[in-house]
Amino acid sequence: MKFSIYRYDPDQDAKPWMQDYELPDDRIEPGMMLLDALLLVKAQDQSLSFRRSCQEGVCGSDGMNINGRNGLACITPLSGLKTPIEIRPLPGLPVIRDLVVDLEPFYRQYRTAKPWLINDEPCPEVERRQSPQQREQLDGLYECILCACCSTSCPSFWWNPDKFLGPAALLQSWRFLADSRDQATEERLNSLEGPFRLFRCHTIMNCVDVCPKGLNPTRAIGRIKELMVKRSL
Amino acid sequence: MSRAAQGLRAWLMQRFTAVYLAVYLLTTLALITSRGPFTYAEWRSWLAGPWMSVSTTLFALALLLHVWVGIRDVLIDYMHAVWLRLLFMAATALVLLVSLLWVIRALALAAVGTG
Ligand code: SF4
Ligand code: SF4
Ligand code: FES
Repeated sequence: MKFSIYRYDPDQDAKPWMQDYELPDDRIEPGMMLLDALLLVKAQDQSLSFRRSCQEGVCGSDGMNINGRNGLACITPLSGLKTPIEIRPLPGLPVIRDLVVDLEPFYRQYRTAKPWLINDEPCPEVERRQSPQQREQLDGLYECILCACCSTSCPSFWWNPDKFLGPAALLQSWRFLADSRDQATEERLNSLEGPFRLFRCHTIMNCVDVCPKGLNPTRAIGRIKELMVKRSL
Repeated sequence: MSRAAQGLRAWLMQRFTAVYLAVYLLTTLALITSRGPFTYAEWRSWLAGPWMSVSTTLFALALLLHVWVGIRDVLIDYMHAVWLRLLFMAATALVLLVSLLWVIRALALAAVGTG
């Protein structure tokens, strides 16, 4: 099985290049995931760098661009991929080395979304309770593993990563706006106003297309806009 | 311009103008196909009627506002040097304003011509 993998070491290479690798077919087992193959490639060439941890689609560390599409290598079956499999780092972020990108611009926008409960009431003696219906509002939002596949496939995020929050951070904005225990609705909506943070989204829906957890940031963004409209009436 | 006008209001304006543009285009198209073919004089007096002249002026206004939000979006997306962006936005605004005046003048002339 053939691979073509993006290589770049800023200390040594003038510019990025693609390296071809080949794994003997008898090493490929049925049901193998791309990450398993990458680990075999790395056994051939220790200098190849990429992130991975859980190997089961939970930690979000092995997001990469696989045959032109962002995804998690650990849950991408080899059998569905056209060869040679072309692997590049997540687009739009600075490359630290090979498939390892600098996620700081992504995390900075996540921080801007204030992804924590804001509630100034005195702590109750028991936990802050939610009805099952209120809890349901968070389904499809809290499951995000921050793999960055969505934001780095969003053209609006490519052009303005420093000003547009991007789908992942906006999904989290809505996650806290939708939380019955959060009291900072006004403040959160105010911070999303203006042409950049929210309104750079043009509903291109690349984010929905790639999310490995099947989440829908575009819908969350729509709900935020809806809430803004309601508030302004 | 307030921050609200730059985000939510621009987005809403884009939606509302889009709806009006679609409705106007479909109805006028239906009217033209059901009533036409027109002679030049018929066409002119039809356009000069109160319904057509008001809705067409509104159409021109909606179209220009829609174009304004669209071009502004493209400029904000791709043109990152602020002074250059402002320059292009000002130029766009000027062209759109002149176009609006031109439309109003054309409709007024049609009205006068048939009066
Ligand atoms: S929304 Fe999906 S693609 Fe985006 S960071 Fe979360 S899990 Fe990853
Ligand atoms: S829907 Fe919005 S956030 Fe998602 S990819 Fe498109 S522009 Fe980006
Ligand atoms: S290694 Fe954890 S998500 Fe792929």
